[in-house]
Amino acid sequence: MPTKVFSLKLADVKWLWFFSFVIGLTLDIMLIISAGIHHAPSLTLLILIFWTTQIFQQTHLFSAFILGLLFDAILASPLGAHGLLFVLVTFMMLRIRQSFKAFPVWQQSLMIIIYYAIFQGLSWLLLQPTLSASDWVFFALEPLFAGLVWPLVSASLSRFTQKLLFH
Amino acid sequence: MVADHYSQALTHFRSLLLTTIDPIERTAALPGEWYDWFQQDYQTLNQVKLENQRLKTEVLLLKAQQQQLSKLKLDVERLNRLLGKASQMDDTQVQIASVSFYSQTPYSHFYTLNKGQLDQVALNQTVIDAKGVVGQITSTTPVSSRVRLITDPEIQVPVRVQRNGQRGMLSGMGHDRLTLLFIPDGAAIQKGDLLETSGLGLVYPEGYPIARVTQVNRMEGRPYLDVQAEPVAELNRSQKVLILTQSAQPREAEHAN
Repeated sequence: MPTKVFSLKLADVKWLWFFSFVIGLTLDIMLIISAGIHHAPSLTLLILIFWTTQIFQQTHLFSAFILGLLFDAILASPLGAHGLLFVLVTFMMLRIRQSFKAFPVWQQSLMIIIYYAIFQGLSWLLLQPTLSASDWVFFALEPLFAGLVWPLVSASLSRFTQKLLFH
Repeated sequence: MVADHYSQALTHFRSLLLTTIDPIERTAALPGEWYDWFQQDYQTLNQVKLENQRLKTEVLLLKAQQQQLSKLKLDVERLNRLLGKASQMDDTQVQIASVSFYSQTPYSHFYTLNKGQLDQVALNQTVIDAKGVVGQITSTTPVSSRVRLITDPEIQVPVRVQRNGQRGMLSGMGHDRLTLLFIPDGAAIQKGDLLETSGLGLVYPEGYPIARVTQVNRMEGRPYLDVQAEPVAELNRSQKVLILTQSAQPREAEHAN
């Protein structure tokens, strides 16, 4: 079925695509490891979701797995755990990406909160994090933080993409 | 995941991933390093002088203790020879390393050190600070290495109570807490007891202080006590640590006899 939704081509934005992940990983390490903000939402995952909903020619599952493996290396979690989680979230996003792109920002944020909550729930089951009473509150609120950060991530990357393509 | 969790089959692959991510980690560490650098720059000369004085005194005391230790080592060797046994004092070499990262996430607790394979750092080496055992090297890259801290739930250390030699297994529980497993009900253990490595399992060298007992609870109908402990090492503050390399010579000599 031919799609009428505008889709980016990876070849047109390959450097932006690559460096957005590098910056995402750097910021994640900075926040989670260096600054000790353990419950900051993963910017790398949000950037991955952004590209999944913008570039329709790719499934992004392989990128998701590699980024997940790098995340496992960063957090010293069992190799493949975050790989699996990233692939699952990307797969779920693949199923709704065309309609997701057409949603207004608030609705996109709502979807991000739901998907991130699934990601959190599965990572709790799979990785069994050690959480104190106060940690639980922040752990539960992490999807909400992800939903709040999403408009910023989405707007910044859209702006950079537009600048790259139309200037 | 299973292969990584239960075996060391993916050690090299993890090392490859860590080497790939190393430049990104170093970039991410820059703001923190700059902050520390600026902070240090503002320290007054007076403070540095006082610190220098204190360190000189400490070096003098340690030198005096070292002399006593050398004498004790000779005494032990002489006594062991009299008993017809090889010396059991391990000839441990040490290597100083700086902590580049300290991470205590809900998933893992680790240090990243600035020494790696190029400095002969290898897997399973024990890391200590000035006060006690910090953890164990679990992955290495050419220029850095990761130390899983003793508070990490993945880490278990065979220990004994320094006061009476009661053996147990120390396990991490996260959030700077440890628990001592397999201590039978009725064992002579009390709050304040110092725990040291027992050397069983041949991973951690014997006799290094590791934790202090903070709580002992009897559980109705259970054969073991619930013993809580806290690490003696300054896990949140250590900047310099020592990587221990155990010499194989004493054990080889033991086998030869």
